[in-house]
Amino acid sequence: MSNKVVVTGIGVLTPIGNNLEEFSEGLRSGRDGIAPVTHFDASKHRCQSAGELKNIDFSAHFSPEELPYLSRGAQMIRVAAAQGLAASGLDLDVEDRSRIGVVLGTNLGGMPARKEGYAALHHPYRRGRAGPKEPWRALVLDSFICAMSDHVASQYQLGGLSLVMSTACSAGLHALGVAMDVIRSGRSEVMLAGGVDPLSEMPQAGFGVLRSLASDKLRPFSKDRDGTLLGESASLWVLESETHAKRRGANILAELAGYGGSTDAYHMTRPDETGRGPARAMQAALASAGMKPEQIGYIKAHGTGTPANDVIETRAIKHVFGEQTRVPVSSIKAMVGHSLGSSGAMEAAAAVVALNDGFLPPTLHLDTPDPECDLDYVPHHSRPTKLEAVLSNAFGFGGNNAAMVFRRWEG
Amino acid sequence: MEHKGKRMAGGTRMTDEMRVVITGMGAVSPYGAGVPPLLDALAEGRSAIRPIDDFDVSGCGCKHGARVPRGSLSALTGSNNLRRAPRGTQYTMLATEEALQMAGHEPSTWNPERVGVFLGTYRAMAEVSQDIWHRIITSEPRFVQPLLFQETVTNAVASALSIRWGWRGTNYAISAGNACGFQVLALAAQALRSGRADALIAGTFDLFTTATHFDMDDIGVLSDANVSRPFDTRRNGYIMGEGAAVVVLETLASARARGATPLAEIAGLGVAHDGHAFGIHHPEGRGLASAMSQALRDAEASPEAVDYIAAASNSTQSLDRAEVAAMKTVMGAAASAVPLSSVKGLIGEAESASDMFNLLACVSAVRGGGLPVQAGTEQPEFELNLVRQPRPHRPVRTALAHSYSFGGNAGAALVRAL
Repeated sequence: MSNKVVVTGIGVLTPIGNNLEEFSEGLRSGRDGIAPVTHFDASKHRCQSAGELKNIDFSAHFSPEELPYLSRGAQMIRVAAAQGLAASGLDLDVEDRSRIGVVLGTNLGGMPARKEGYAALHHPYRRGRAGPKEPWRALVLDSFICAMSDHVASQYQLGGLSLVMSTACSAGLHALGVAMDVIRSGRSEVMLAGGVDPLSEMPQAGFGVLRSLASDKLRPFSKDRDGTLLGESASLWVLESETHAKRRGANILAELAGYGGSTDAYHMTRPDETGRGPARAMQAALASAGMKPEQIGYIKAHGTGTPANDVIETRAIKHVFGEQTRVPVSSIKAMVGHSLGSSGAMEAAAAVVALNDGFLPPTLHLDTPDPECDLDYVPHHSRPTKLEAVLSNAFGFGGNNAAMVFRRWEG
Repeated sequence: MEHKGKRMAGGTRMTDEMRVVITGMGAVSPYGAGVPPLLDALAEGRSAIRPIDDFDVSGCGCKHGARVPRGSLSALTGSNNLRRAPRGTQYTMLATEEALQMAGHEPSTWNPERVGVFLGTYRAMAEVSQDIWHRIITSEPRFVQPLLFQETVTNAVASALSIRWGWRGTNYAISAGNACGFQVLALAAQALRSGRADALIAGTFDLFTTATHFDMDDIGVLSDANVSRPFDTRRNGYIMGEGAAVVVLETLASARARGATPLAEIAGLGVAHDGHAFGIHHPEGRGLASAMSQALRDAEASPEAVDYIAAASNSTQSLDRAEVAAMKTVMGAAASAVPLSSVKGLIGEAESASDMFNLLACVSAVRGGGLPVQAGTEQPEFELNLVRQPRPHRPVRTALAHSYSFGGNAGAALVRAL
């Protein structure tokens, strides 16, 4: 029995597109999804921009009775899940739901966007027992990170391994990796995986005081880069064993060929300057795919736009691919912002788009080359190309690294 | 030899490379730091539940809790930078120190690139993010404390452990509701069996905080009667507990190769979700039944072979009833015969930490230790063989630990003597 793991459907909500087709078009045209924050009053924040979802009306997706009981994070992942399942054509009524699980990356889960929202839910700002009609109980339970996978499992009556991965900015990619491992081990034939993180003023304040947010634009790999910008997104992937996908005649988007992780064991917020940690994650992903660096045609970088990340990631890529490597590398964060625990999975969808739609997503706002960042970053404009395999990176706070290899599927 | 003869579900031979064993364990519980104080108190039936006296609970229905005694830990956390670390990091690190010592760990024991830390938690770093929000609400975003913000990520504890001991394998920080201890073990077993790691530090932590006590009291899940009495007809809610627990996991082959003494085998693991409704578990315990069946099948054990069950029931009407229903579904008549107890009668609902406390109780049981006695339960609603005195009538070779959450996550770990 084949233990290849394949992708058969992806639902995405991003600041540049609210489904995979729109997202692809946004990536190809280099759409900038960063704008002034509207979810909360950002006037007192150090940084006032972020990548928020646009042109989406959640009231069209939920009944007026249901909507008040759902946090924004829950709404986002529910919409992405409906989309991803529809795209996969998976008929849950003929599947063994008890063996399908849900693994999602998230940092914030159902955390409220604004301080008024937090104060309305939690002690000491809110006191007294909730009335029977009040959505309070649900929203309190929803405010914990695990609510995201609970929502999807409950909505579709899924009984398999269900959890959220919460390893800061690498969480979404680890979530895909864990789901891949579950399928490879034979415990499940189908898994739902992905990630979700809404925008909230808690991290907007925190990254602000850490001086991690850009003063103007997010400029990955540019000499004048001075920080990242936050964003929000959700993605839900349907992953299956090759055998299962073929048995039901599914349209296969790509093979999830390999996955690897590592830890810097260096510092809580500063990455190890040598880049050894990220390099080991990339090497582990290649080894897990049984592939050599030369077989990779594109690297979807973590590329946060912070001074440290971009030079260290460049160093790590050279360590794995060689000092003179010509492999194209790009960061899509200038378009979509950094959606934390969701980003690893949502941005991996960009890697799959590149593979299937035949172009390299651009790195926007790379106006001033940095001598220390001297790879081909596909600046400003997307580039048509034909790809056989791509690598997607995600690195997080605490030196937590993940990398994944996707291979073109030749049915 | 038994370890040569075990078969996997697919019919292939279960080799020592595929068998997962515990070589060390550590805990910080309402009885303080250390596994022995926890296990001794559970076997003696000594309750850790006390009236809350350090914050104003006059507005709460529930006025009791089971809390880690902070005073007793200050001497242990006084060294290095641990005193300034968040409590989740402090407790998990103390538990890890203990587990490593028991495992016979020295700096050269493992290749640090092949050691990972997998931790589970329900409330993650809620105690820290509460402080950040408080600053935003009462002051201004620019006055948020940067050193505190970096501790809001769920993986802050796993990172602190990896930095302290220099471990560079993959780290996971997961949440699967207030029962996620066995999801952690499932990922760890998978990583060990697939050869991704040589050793894993697997654990859970959850903290009692003023805010969570009030929030849980307000949504009506805590006991107004201030009594934790799992399975009792009069049960009306739980008492909050807290703590951290850690086990060192290796394959039997690598434990033997380095001359370590395995304490017990995790012979079967099951994890599942009720898939019922958000925030409400299935009335018949569908997820828990599935997890129990998986664990028994994994271990090729019959329900009758189980000598002790560390139950998940927390003294709420619905969860206790669902757990009993799941046991009846899976075990039939054996459900009312197997010796069983829920430690939550003594130490409250410590959420994800409870799962690991249950695991430690099972490890102790298969090593001949006393069983946790069932406290609080005077009028049992169900026909169960509740443990009333710590010495079992028949020796315990196989013990089953349960976890179950009102969010629908469930787990079961079958622990077997080696």
